[in-house]
Amino acid sequence: MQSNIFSRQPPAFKSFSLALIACLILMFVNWRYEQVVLPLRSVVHQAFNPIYAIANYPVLSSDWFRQQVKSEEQLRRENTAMRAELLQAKVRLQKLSELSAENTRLRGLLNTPLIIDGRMLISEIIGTDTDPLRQILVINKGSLDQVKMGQTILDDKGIMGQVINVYPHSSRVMLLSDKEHAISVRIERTGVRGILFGTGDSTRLSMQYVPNTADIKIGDRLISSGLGEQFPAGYPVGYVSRVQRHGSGEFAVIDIKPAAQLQGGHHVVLLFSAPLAQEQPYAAP
Amino acid sequence: MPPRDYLGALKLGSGRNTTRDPLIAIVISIIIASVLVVYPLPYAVAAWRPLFFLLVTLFWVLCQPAWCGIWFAFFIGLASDLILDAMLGQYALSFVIIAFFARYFTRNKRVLTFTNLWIVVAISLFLHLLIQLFLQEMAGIQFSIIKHWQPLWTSMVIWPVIYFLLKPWRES
Repeated sequence: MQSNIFSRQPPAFKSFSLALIACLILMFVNWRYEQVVLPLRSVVHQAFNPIYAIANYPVLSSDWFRQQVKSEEQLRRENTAMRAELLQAKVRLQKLSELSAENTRLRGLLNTPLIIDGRMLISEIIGTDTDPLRQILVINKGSLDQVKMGQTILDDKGIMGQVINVYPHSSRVMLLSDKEHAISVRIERTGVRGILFGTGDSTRLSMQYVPNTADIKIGDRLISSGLGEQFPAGYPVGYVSRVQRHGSGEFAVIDIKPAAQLQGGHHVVLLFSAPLAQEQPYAAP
Repeated sequence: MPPRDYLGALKLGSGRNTTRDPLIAIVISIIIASVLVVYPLPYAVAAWRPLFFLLVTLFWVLCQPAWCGIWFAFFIGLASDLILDAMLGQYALSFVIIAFFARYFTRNKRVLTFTNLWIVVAISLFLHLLIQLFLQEMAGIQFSIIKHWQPLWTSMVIWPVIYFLLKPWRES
């Protein structure tokens, strides 16, 4: 009688071993049959949408609050700055339209109806992945906005990454800096090709398989090459920040600083154009 | 019989606590914990995030053993696997092991004072991180070893807060 009050039953050893075996089976299933687990994960992520929404509410509302309390003077100043920026952008746009017209003329000469810029969709970042091992963002556009797996994400400075999961109201974006991410790039100045891998660090990427003898300088701009048909060609990706050439190795060790703001930023652009590599030039029969 | 009288007094004294149904508290605490687990933090401080799920699970497993046991720990562990995009079973395994041993070594109810609970939690956190380290090493995931141990300190600091927030639903 007394033992029932003052001491408690230890948990049943049977259920402990059952749970343990269940864990091991789950780990095995996850390792061997990952395609079975993926739909389950996506269902759970969808079920967790309200939780994500609650968790992100303070972030969004603090942003909103900051907008509300901006003083008039601040707004005026911002307005002036934006006017100046708009003017500059317009001038640039004029030049761009001229270039675009020229491009069209040239393409017309070549008889190739290629579409250079597809549709764009602006989306908001509503969360980051909880696992510090991963470099994944959550954005607020999903399959209801025709977002597709593998779609390219940009910001105003360059490529950020690609969509890896699509849910009805949100999607997950793997950044260039994720360890599992790779993108095919080209150095703008020389045309040297290479593959850019993420390192897990959002300020440093690593370009690999570039020969020791290749002409690479610090500050060289990298653009996407469009090879691999995953990313559209010609968008800025990063800048060379460090080059090491070891006598013993065949390849140079190259560190890249990403062009896009992988750490900060609130808005991203979803690109709806197929990679150029997939588009076939029109050939008259 | 003196023992029975003593027994009755004990039950009367704790009547306020035993009448509280912890089910709603359990559900709400898990929802709040999951919000805290997915709350977006800058990359630099993300590694300091306390292990909210483990703390809440430990509280219920230790202080409400009639309601929450091994399977409770198992399902919370599975949920954290799915939320954190970890290998399925990775958190579940360490949650189950910790729940079992925490319960096994606190069979005597008088042991469960605030300080002793804190010590049990600290040991459990250490064990959890050790199991995680082992599993990550096995899966070939490389991660900064300093960052791996950071949640231990923040979780230990946050434990008293969780304890006193959930204390009204503690089994007497």
